[in-house]
This record gives sequence, C-alpha cells and structure tokens, in this order.
Amino acid sequence: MTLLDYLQKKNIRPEIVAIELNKEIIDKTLYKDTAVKENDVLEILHFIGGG
Amino acid sequence: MLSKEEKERYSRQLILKELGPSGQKKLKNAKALVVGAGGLGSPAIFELACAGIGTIGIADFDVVELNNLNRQFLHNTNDLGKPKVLSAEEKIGLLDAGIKVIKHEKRMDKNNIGNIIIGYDVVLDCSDNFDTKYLINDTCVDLRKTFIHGAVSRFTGQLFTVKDGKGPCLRCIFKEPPPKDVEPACHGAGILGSVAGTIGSLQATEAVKCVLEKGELLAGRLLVVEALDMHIRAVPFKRQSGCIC
Repeated sequence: MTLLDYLQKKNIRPEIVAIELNKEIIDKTLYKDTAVKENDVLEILHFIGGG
Repeated sequence: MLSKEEKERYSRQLILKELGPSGQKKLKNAKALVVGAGGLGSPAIFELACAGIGTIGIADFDVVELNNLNRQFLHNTNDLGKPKVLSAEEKIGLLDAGIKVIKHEKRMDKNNIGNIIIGYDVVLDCSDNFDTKYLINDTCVDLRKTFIHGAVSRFTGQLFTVKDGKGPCLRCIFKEPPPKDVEPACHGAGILGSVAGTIGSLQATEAVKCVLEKGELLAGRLLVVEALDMHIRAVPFKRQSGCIC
C-alpha cells in the first residue's frame, strides 16, 4: 500500500495534511510512490489555521 | 532595580530559580508582538502582561463581536464594537499600568509586516488565517526573528517555536498553504474556547522562556493537542532541504 492508498482508505484529502513517515516529512509529490510497510510509524498532521 | 511594588507583584515567580530578579528585568526590557487579539491572542497577551513583559505590541484590525466571546476573554460584553487592540490595551492597563502597549490597528501584509516585526524581540503568531501565518513565518525567517506559531481548530491545537528565525519552520511541515476551500477560521470549523486558551497560554510560556533563555523550547517539535481524546504529543520535525529557513 502507498501513502496515497492509505489516505484514500482513511478518506483523508492529501492536500490538507502533512505526513511524517518514520520521523521524516514526506513530500506530497511522493505519496503515490511511497510504500507503507508493516511496523512503519505514520504521523498524520492536519493543516489548521484558526486563532 | 525592581521597585517595591514589582517585588511584591512578581514575588511568586521571583522565587523561581530560572527567573529571579535578573530574569524579571529581562522580561521588563523585552518587547513582544502578538499578531491577533482573538482566541489565541487573549490568553497570550494577558499571560505576557501578567509575567511582566515590559512592551507588548498588538496587531489586529477587527472589532469585538458577540460571537468572539466564547473564547476571547480579553474582551467582554461592554467592548462590543470596540477595536480589539483598544479593548486589549484597556485590560492590560487595569492589570498593570506600567506595561507599555503599542497598538497596530491594521491588517498585516507583505508591505508593512517587516517594519512592524523588526522592532520586537519575539513574535507570537495568534492570527486566524493561513495567509498571515505564512507571512509571519517567511518574514521572521527572513529577519531572523524568534516566533511562536500557534493554530487551533475545533478541539485541536498546534504549537512550535522558531528560534532566531532559524528552521525548521512552518514550511518544513506544510510546504505551501492549503487549498482555499480548507477552513482555517473558527467561524467555519468551530472552536472550543478552552482549547484556544490552552494553546495561547503555551505560546506565552514559550515567549517567556525565549526571553529568559531558559528551558527547552519547542524548536523542531510540533506540539499537537487533541483535546477531544486528550491526546497530547510533541512530534519532532526537521529542516527540509531547499526550504527558505
């Protein structure tokens, strides 16, 4: 499964999050090519801008 | 020297070994700019004033509305229709008339932001929209100014510090602003007031630590507060190669 597949499965729009995979922020253009493997640590950070 | 009145007013923090009389003098001589006198700005401004930050700049162009009052506790029902910078100045005056307040009653844009920020030691981003957040990020990076990013929506808050404008910065997490249809503001997505209060208060704490040069800053760590599940975590992040910072 790629990061893009993962987001689609979770119903999350890629443009409203940043993803940290094993402590590295992944460039959005690479979501479709980045595989998620067992034991990977994913951190989904939502874009928020209220104040 | 601290006056007798100051020694009494700040007595409960003067006994902190990380602060003491020399730290209190640093706070008195410090100049902090708070961009936005709303949900994040209310606690941030008031906590800075309580701590004894000597000069507080407040940038905001809004007036107080009734729907602000679930969270913007610097303002009250008597302030409806009043510019927020004026309302904030009045409240600080009631707390401590010795604190200097500089009002910037204008919208921050790329033409005026640099001239405003340059006069301050630390900037607190308490703004309520992505454009201003990126503008503050990029300007502080350019001017090598310390700033504390804060953002809230619904039950969630985020916070990090960029010391001396040196990354990692906002663009290292979120390279570009999101599409325009993403709701940044509290009027669209909703906000629980106490969540904004928590994040704004933590922004003031980071600012005080920056001035005192004590403790561990949230530099390279994004604090995420998810209050609905009460899940709080600090997510480490690195400077991205090619970033402006």
